Amino acid sequence: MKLLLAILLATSAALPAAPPPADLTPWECLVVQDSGRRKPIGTFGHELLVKISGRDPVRTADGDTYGGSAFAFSQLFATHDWSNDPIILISYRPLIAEVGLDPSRKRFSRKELAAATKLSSLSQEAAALRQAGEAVPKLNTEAQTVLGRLQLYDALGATTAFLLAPPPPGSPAGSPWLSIDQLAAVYPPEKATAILQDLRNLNIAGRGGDNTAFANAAERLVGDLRALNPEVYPTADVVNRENFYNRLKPFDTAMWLLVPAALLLMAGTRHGPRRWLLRGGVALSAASLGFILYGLFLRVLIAGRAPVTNMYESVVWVAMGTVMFGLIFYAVYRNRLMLLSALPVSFLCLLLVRSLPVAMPARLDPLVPVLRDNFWLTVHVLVITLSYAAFALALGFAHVILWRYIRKPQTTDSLRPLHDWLYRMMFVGLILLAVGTILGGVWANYSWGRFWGWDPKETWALIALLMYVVAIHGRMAGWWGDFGIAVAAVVNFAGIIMAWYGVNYVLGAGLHSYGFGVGGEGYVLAFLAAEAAFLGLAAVRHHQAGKHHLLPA
Amino acid sequence: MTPTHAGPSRPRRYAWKHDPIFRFLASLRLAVILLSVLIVMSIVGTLAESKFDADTARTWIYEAPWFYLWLFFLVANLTCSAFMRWPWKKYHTGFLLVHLGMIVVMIGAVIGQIWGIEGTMTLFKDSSPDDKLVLQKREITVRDPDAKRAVTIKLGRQPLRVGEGDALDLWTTPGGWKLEAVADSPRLMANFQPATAPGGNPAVLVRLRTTAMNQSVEQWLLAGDRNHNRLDLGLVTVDLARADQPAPATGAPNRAVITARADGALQMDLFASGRLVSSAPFPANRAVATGWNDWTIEALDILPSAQTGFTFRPLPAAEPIPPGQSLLDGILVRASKADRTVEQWVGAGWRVSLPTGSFPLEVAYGWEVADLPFGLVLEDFTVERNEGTEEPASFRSDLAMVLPDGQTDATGSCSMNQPANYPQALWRSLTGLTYKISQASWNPNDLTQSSVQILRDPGWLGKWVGSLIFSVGLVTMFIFRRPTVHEKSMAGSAGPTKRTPQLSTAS
Repeated sequence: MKLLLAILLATSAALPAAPPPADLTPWECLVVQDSGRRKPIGTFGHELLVKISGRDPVRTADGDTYGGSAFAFSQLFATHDWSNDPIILISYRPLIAEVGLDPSRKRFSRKELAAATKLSSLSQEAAALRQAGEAVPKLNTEAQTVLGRLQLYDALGATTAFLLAPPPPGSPAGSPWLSIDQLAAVYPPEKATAILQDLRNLNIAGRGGDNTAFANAAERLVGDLRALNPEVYPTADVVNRENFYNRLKPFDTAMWLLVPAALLLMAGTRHGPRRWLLRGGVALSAASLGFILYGLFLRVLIAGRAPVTNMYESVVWVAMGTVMFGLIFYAVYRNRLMLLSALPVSFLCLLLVRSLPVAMPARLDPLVPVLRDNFWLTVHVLVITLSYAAFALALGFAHVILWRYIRKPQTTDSLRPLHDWLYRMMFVGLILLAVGTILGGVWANYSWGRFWGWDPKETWALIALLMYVVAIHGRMAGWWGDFGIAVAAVVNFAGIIMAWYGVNYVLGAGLHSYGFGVGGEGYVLAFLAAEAAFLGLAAVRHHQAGKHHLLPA
Repeated sequence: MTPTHAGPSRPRRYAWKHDPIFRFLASLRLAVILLSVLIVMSIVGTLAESKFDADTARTWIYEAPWFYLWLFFLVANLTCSAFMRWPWKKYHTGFLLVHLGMIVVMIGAVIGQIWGIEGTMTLFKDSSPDDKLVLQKREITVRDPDAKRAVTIKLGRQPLRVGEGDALDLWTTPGGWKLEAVADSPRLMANFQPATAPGGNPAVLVRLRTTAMNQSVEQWLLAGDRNHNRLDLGLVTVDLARADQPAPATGAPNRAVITARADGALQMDLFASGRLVSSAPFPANRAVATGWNDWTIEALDILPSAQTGFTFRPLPAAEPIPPGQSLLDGILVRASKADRTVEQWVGAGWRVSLPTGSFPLEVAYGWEVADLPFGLVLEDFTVERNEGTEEPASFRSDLAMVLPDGQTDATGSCSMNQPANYPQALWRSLTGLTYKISQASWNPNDLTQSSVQILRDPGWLGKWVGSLIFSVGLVTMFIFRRPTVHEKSMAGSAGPTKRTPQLSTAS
């Protein structure tokens, strides 16, 4: 037994480096237990790469490209020596300079980081500061993050990183899975030997480039592993579903569909021959919505829970809601600007989650206890984030209006209906935010034992709500007019961003801590600065047009 | 109610609507000012919570008197602006419901604040029923056992802060001792130090020593105290057990079990490599060879009857927190009489005795406690884990509610998001006239304990009914709003429209 394992490992070590197999589909039927969940090895590899590298795929020093699945294969069978490839991410620039690495790069190899001894001293400082109860500078926390990536990478060198085999039948529910080293201790020799032999065949076939042999070897391996404990090993359907989701990338597709949709909407007209362009734009928007919904649906099936429990999913949900509200408003009022203004907002949301895999991981990890099994929680979060979508649509629509103020400040009277529609969009958001916040109170009463407790997330939801309420009441009082309400739609969205992102990522306080994260501050600040500049320009133009009074005439 | 007629007669019929104070209270201007200040103060509150802690934010903002005053004005504004529209028309429905809903929610909140009760309780398996609910409010209690009198000083949510030279007078006892709080510290360290008390358990100060490795360990042990009845060095454990309660099992091969006999003398059983090697009396101040290399064991001090006690000292800022220790906040209490002065630190949640004489004064600093009309027993506590990990997936406490006469009246379980109610009845759940017991926290190192949060909120009915009215009102406003001038003109002829500020749903 020991001998066979030794043969397997020795074979790997002795074999030369090899490129990843061209078609890894058969290999992706393998399942790994990791982070409290059973997942296809492709997902496992993808999540590893995102953690270590902040991206998937990565490029080796030789220019080969490895996706998550190929990366996992190369690690398990040691088909490639990664120690010289720049794959370990340092996202904080000052840290790169501090530890004496090339400041023009963001990713470094294992060997380069081994030479950067300053990393561990910075990390030890962080631990000492934390122990003394003092604030830890960002430089030190980032050093700890990088060392964490390094440890994760190093752990992959051992086969124990891959929990490939289910525990034997009769083990308690939720038992840990086994790595191939542990097989012999738990299973009868013939079963363990068969699996080791399968692995060896897979290794050789993968290096040989013979697709058929590779597929056969993978199939046998998966079959033998599943036969160990068919009750616990996920069925082929379950594995295929997640692999299908991984390959489909529905949110990317939805994002790209929005581009031609917006172009068609801009080119189209309500009547005449160009009405077909308009209809095409609407159809593409609906298709984009369909892809987002389908992607969320698949995530619900895979994870078995509601789709809004982390930042990634809530941003996708808002992208969905914005397009949906755009389509609904278009259907009711037949104004293409309403749909058109939704598309860039939605596009930006989807681009954001695509660009920030570290700050907003797409992982489907198990929920923390406080978020489990609760109907009210699900409804509360879905409604609140839907309100963000309505406000995001109002934001986009306000930009269309303000753009008119900038371009033709003299003729803004013709914008009256647009302001009414903007008002209605904000009202939809207001209803959803108010109801969602109240439902949050119902849930909090259930889960935390009180209806309202001035928790920062609650309080910021209330602040955002009141900001829109003030905008509406100020308008009723005649303190500001059409221009003011358009400005309010933009300014108040800052309150939404604070409630949505700021509480979890900037304040980092309170009971909603399960959504906490770091990163993305630069993007948010840039967004707020751009908005401020835009509002400033609109205000100047509005003022120049002699309508400097915010009050209506 | 007589139907009202539009026209110039209306102002006289509703003269109260022209009262300047009423008009001010009902004004939109006041509403916007109230809401704007509420926004700003809430922002300050969340920043304060992020920078300091939740209690600071509550003390200075959310639960400060002026904040309540502000909310009171808001309710007045909501009410007056609703009556400003008198006589109400059909299109006022949404507007009125929204305002009514908010008023009802606020009334519910006030009722909950005044008559509600909220606190936490840490329960231990196999313990007797606990009916002491710990509230989130601080207090200091000083007791004079000689005069059999005590006073309690109620404090706020926050730890007591005592400025330099700004001592807080607590009490002057009938015996003439003047008690003051003279300093505070957020970094108190507790040292276990059993104190002699009647009806307690034996306590022993044990020293383990090896000359070969030049090591020595000293520790107080108290029989019957689950946290302090064992000295654990990994391969060696020393237990102090009561005669009627055998020492718990250990994985260490070498162990000493000290047992207090009924006559007060100590008996020690020594085990080496898991086997009993000797059993003999264990007198004080004599080092006994253990047979584990050259380790000796000695009882440096013996208290025949003692209770759990701690001494506290502030940890200097430069000194790191010892591993496994956590710091408390606390106050320094001074007792003075004529030329005698005694000082002692008291950690939050603890009671100390001041050595003022044969009947020492007792000072307790901690949280207010409320008596529940029933006792809670933790029958079982279970933690479900995420597969293959130690991360908790959910917690469940199985509880029994026990009446004062010892009868178990009900049982229930609370888990994350699934509270238990006592007494159980639908109408009680709806009105909040029940004790709602929610799973609050756990101790990863001790799965025989569980913390629950208990809430009784008689304002709950107002909160949810008000919320419902409010939500219905909002939707009504959206659906049945008054048509705007713009829409009227779109619906009618394409004639010129006059620009007016009129737009909205209400007013």
